[in-house]
Amino acid sequence: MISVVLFSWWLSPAFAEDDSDVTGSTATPGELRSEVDELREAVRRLEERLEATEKRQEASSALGERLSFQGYGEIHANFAEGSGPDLIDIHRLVFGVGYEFAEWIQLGSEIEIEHGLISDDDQGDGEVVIEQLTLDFFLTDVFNVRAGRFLTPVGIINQTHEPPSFNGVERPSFAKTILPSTWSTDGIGIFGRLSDTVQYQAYIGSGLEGAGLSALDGIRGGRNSGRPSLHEPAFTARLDWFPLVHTDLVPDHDLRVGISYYRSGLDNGAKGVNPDVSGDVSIYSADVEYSVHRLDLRGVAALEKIRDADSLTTGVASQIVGGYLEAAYHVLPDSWKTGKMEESDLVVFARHDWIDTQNELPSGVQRDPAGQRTEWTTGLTYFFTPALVAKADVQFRQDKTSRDLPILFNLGLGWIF
Amino acid sequence: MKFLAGAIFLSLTFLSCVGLLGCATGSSMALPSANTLSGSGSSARTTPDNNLRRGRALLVTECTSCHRFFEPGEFEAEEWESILPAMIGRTAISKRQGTDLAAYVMSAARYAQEQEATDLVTQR
Repeated sequence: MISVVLFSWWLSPAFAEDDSDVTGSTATPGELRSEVDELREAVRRLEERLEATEKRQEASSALGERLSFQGYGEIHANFAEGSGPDLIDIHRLVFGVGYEFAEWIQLGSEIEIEHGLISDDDQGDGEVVIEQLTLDFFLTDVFNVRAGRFLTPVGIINQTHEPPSFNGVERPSFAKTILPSTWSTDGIGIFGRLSDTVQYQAYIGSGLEGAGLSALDGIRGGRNSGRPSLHEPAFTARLDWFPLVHTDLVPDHDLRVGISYYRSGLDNGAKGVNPDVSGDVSIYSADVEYSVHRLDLRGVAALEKIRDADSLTTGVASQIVGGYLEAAYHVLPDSWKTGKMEESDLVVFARHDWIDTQNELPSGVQRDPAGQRTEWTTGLTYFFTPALVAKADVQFRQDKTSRDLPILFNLGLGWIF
Repeated sequence: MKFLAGAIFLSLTFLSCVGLLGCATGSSMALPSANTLSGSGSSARTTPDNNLRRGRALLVTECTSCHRFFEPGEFEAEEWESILPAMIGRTAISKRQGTDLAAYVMSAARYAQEQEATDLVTQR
């Protein structure tokens, strides 16, 4: 019985195969060649798969290096003295994506959602708007080209309005009326650095919509972020000077002085439909920011000349002026900046805005005293980190209607990433 | 109006007081120049002075438009290596300018560390 079992095992294919593998005596040269070819093919396929995997990893890594994502946002609570509205406002949520097509070509974008709700009913007065969409072509330090939708280079806030970059819950009233922010222009232009201390920008693009100008809000309603007309385009240019860049005073002293010029025709509308008005706007503005040790000072002034204002909405002035001055102080002692407060800072500030949207009027037009107003804002900005702030302020306002406007109290949270 | 005047007066008084406090407590060192960094050996030998000079200018003019001024010595050079690419992505400066900025900041960070070490030795 045992011998039968052993004989059967000897005859089995497994035994035969094992035997040939061990000795190799049963494989012909042709079979061996075929086996080697199969192995070569298997190795080739493995190499291909490895190469493809490496390429995918490289592409993924390159995308990560070329793609950038950023954003900012702010939430406000606004309270008004007396019967004025008290409300909470998810004021802004902004996201931006950038992409580097090549070392010298960069795409930038910012999409903004305002006031939390966009709806046809009465509850929603929000909007979604492309605030910036630019293609930058970096050619030399001095000469670079920008095309798309960019921030109109006027004033301080319009160019840098991320919440940690300014004091006060709301943007200054000057930056809502005189140089309204956010104010974008669609077009093309050049920018660069004339030296280490001087930067410039110059653009041509979509102009202001004449039908949107008003007696009390000035040029604010003239901005057009839809499909703006190029019928009477705008030209704008700006110079920034940083005189202390190469001095030993930096970083305890930091000074920037900027001047801007803007000129636009007014016969511009949306979607190619123009309001058929005459006239144009010229804006001259200057701004300065100076930091010395813990003290920050900044100020802006602007003069706006509107030609043929009498052809526009009744009450639009032929000259508008405004400005503000702000002093801020970083009060948190260095000894407190430990632990969770390691990156903290506390700033106390006071700002005075003055605005006159009725400074000079076309002959025969009645002056609206509500167009001349002043505002004091004072409050605190607490930086949890340099990118996250909590703000609180109070605003005292007056206009020439011989009455004090309701005092406003504002609280806010803002961030940038 | 009385309330307004009082509030402004209090604000200004407060500002003056904290101003005096700040002046009394603050201290800072000058931002090193390109020549200083080259002379100290803190910068890579392959980084020409002109690039460091441009990098210093970019640090002063670009970075402070969004946040407070960070002195290079506040972080170590290795930390800046990860901070700078993210920050440069937010600015409108070219790749080459970004390289100059990074070269300056990391050299200045190394220089600050060396200065700190020297000060410690001197104090002992």
